[in-house]
Amino acid sequence: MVRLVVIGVAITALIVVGVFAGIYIVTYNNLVGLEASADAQWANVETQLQRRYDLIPNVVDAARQYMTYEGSILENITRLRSQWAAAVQSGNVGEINNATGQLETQIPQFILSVEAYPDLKASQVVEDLIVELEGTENRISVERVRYNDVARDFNVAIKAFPGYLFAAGWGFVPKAYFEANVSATVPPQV
Amino acid sequence: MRVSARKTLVVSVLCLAVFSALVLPAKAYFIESDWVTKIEDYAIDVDANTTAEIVVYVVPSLSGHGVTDKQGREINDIVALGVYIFNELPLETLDGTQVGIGKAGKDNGILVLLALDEQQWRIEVGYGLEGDITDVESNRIAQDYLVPAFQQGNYGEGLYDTVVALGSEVPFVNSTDSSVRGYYYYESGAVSAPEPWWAWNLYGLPWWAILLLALLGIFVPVFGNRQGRGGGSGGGGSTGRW
Repeated sequence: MVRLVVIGVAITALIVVGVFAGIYIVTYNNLVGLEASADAQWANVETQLQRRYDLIPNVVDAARQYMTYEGSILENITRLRSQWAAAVQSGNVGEINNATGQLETQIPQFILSVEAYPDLKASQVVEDLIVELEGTENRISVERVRYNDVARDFNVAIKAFPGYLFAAGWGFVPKAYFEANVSATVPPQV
Repeated sequence: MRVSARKTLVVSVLCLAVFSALVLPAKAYFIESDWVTKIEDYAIDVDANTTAEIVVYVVPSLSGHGVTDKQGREINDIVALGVYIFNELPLETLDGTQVGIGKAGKDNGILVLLALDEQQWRIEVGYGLEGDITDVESNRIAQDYLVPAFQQGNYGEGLYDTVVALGSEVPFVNSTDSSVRGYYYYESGAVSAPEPWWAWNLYGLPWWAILLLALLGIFVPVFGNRQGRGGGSGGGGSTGRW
């Protein structure tokens, strides 16, 4: 009789331990997976930012021949581009965001100002480059939205049960969201 | 199998054209049915010859079309709407199956999105075709074929010429080469050998452990997989007005 009870307790204990081990493993693997996809998606954002970086000199060079009054926009864009690259080199997140945010107010202004130059608009080279620049801006925003989605999944997973129990212990920290630059949502003055 | 994929294209072109006609009677017959047929036939040929899928989506207006994002807000920006339709919106075919644009794994879809009230067009190109149809090329195609014809009111002709020009950019894929067509059949679920039940696992956790957790009422939400049914795109393409 006593032996039966002991066996029963042992089996119950095994099941309980098994269940907890199961939760532990699934939670950990899930968080690792979510964090990896958030990081991968951030890399996609960076790829598109790099694409913009590579494109800017071509656009600026092509436009410079036509734009005389608007020279300051071109200078600003060129300066912010170098600033962004320097910040990426140094890895200073605040600086990167600052340069990115400023670039994002200048580029739409530049695209709008092109409309004011009939010569410039008529140039096939400039038109193509502007299309490419717009395409790049679209890609950046699409990849950012996707990054926010996967970052949200990850953040929810580490704040919800059962991730909440272990996430801090495993060293998972919440991912920052990409916030649209406030000034970027205000239409530029032309 | 092949028929269902064909239907997909036919229906996605057709029902959307019809849809826009139904929603706004004033804009009924935005394009004549002859043109719809020609566009469908061409899109089917493109699918057969290249495995790429071209879908035309027409909304009467960018507001009131009822396509909402994950937060339930209607998408009023044509670029964001194009990305959403391309990647998230299931398009229903005649036999009731739901598909995305382009073949899964190949990302070879093309979406031509038109907003009639705003007179805006958007060509969204899947990742797999971005090399064949660059932003610049899609813009030129739209400027050469879509914009001039639409300005004259020749919507059917402009749309057909645009679709043909886009389709001509897609490289031919030998349809008798089964290794190339593999994805095509895979999509319909004909291939893919089933995994033996004893080997089934999720994130490295064997099935019996999942069963145990499920029996105990502990369900870890790891099943949420947002993988689309079709190909993907990321904002590549071009946008403009007519």
